[in-house]
Amino acid sequence: MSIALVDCDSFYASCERVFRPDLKGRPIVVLSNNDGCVIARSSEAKAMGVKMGVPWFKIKDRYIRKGGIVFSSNFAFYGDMSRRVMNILNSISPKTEVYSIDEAFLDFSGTEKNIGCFDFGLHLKNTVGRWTGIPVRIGIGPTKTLAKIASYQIKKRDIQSRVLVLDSQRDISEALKSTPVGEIWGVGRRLNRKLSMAGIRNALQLSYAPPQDIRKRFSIVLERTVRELNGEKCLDIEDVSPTKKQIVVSRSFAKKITNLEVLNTVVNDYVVRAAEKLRSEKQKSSRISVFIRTNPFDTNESYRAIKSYSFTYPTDDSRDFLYAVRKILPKIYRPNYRYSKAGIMLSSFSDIGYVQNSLFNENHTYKMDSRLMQVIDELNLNQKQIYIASQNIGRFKPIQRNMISPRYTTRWGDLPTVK
Amino acid sequence: MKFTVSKTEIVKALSSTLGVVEKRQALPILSNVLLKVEDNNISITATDLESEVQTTCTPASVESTGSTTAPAKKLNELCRLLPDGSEISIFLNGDKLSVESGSGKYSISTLPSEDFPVFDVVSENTEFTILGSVLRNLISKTSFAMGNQDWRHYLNGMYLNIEDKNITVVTTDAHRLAISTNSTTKSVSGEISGIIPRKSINEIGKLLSDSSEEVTLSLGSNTIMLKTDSTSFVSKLIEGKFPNYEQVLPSGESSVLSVNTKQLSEILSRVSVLSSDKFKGIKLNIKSNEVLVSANNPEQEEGEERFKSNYDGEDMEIAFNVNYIQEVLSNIDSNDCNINLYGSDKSCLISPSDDPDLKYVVMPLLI
Repeated sequence: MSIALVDCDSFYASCERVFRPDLKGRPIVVLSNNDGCVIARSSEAKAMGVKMGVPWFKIKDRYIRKGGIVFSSNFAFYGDMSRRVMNILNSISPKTEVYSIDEAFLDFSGTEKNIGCFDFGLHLKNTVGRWTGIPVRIGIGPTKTLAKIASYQIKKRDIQSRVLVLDSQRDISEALKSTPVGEIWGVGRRLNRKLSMAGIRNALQLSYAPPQDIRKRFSIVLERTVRELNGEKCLDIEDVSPTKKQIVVSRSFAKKITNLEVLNTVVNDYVVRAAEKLRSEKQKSSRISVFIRTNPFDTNESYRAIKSYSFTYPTDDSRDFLYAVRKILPKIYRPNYRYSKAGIMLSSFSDIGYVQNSLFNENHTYKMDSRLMQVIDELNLNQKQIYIASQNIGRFKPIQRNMISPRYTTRWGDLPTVK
Repeated sequence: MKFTVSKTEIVKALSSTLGVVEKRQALPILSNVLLKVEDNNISITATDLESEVQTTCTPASVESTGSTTAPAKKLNELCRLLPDGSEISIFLNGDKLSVESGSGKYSISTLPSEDFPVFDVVSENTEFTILGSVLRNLISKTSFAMGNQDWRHYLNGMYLNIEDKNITVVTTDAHRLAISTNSTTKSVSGEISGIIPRKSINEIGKLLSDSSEEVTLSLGSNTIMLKTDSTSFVSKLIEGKFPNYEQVLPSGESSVLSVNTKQLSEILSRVSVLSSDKFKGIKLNIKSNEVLVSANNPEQEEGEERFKSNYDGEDMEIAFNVNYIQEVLSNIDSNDCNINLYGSDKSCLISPSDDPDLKYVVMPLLI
């Protein structure tokens, strides 16, 4: 039984390099929305000492002078590249769990007998590299947690083949010994501190801890980790992704918004976006919350508000949510404030399979018919073609992304041309 | 203020007020009870500003009259834990309430009785009488369907309507509805109605738990009052308009499925083990001679059971939240019940085969 973790190397930075081979070997950083902070770094940028999450303005001059390259985040592009990578993994391994935008767990059971995990991993890495241009590393072990540790070791030891199989007890112990506790999957900063105080500093020490004691002193989650470090499989590959509990779409604005009209169109954009996501998840929601706030670091003005609207029936129709926003946004809006962030949240989900109808739906009777939304979704699948009139449609540009790369793979006009 | 009282008397009185005392309250005095000692009578009052309960007990002796307020929970605990058969001596000592029995001496803090909020009962209430057991039955058969913290605040209670000698109670959380009718022992002229809050309904249910005597209810535009021989309970009513329940009662042509209440309930319990945690959906495939009950969950587990049925309509597939059906069945005492079906997307009407005055409406799940 083997599990592989396929992890894309410096994913956002690698994406930017795919269509810009000239950037090979140059430091790359990618910035958050509004070009605020560094959210991704290539290994060269890490070597320059650029820290994760550092505000861009603090390092800008020195970084550029030293020849660094910078991009605004281009999530449409990264998302599409991720989808391509995951599709390849899916086609090669029948059981795949997409864990995040740049990581996936694969079931390697059976490959031990055939071509061997290492060779299969190498084949997978080469295929992804050749078909998408994204470099990946593949950690393989008997459990998810050990696969994660293998992946960490590839990075740490800079293993050239980018594939590491932890199968013998000796290899595992050696890897655990050189993995600090804070690098173990599921151990965050606070847990790391608590474990250090208990004298547990590396993964090998944690693996020696009696699981029952760990459950008593910490949690059942950490007990699973301990068992997984010892090769006992506690976490299965979840190839059916668990359903979401809520969908949030929110953004900070580069240029503050004061006008209710403008705020409304921007929020409507988020609503349409969230409703699309909701429908793609095949869910319905019966509650929407809208929130707005001013810059929390601004000492001169401070205002934040959130308000929710409940439907008597679960819906996935954008128009229902927009109706709710029209009702509640004016109630929380106060003039003379400069709003720096707004967002919406859909919650109280129910599967599309069942709908509990109400006895008293005088105004809205829920219909199991969402053909209009379906048609809109189909038309907008590849490129936005239909908008709801109250949407923003680029009239206002609250988000600043001055250094964004072209959307090479998702927009015809941005296709790279070969001379 | 100084009196002695038997343990049994005071514990009985105190415990019947405890339900009204909120665990967490905004005003400190609301965790207290008001003790009022008169010549031959002790009255104990508790309130949460929405409702008020007042009960009396007979003292063994009264040395001096007076009033104060003391923490309800502590006073009750203390008296309850004293040995059975004890005589308890209670008196004000400065701003402390002394409780003494045998060699035990306890001193409890008090707050001035003048600060205790008293309920204004409007006198324009319409009064009628009803057997305690009848009222208790009306409440117990329907209270489960009340809304609970619903944003439609008027659903978080029980709708009460009296016309002549007919009393009707209705509860609904918009997914199911319970309606029960009976008669009062004294008629009212015209028609009166009101929505009694959920918490108050629970309290009234408790107060009636062992009463088969006649009780007096008086209903006004914003309060309701219940009087038994030793206790009176007043509650504010929920403002707002109760939904038009008559419109919700399904009508038109229906097909009737007659089932054995216990058998259906047991089958549902078993099958629903494998329904999804969130929706508790179960499906009924109803044919003229057989009903197939089935459920499945996101883990792709499934269960099904069949039973012989007595059904006169066309084949139908209908789904329900199993909890809604189970709660209805658990409130039906008769062996058999009738499920009137109007279509797989329409509400159904469930009633005991021998009691036309008790009806339940349940909205199905749409699949």
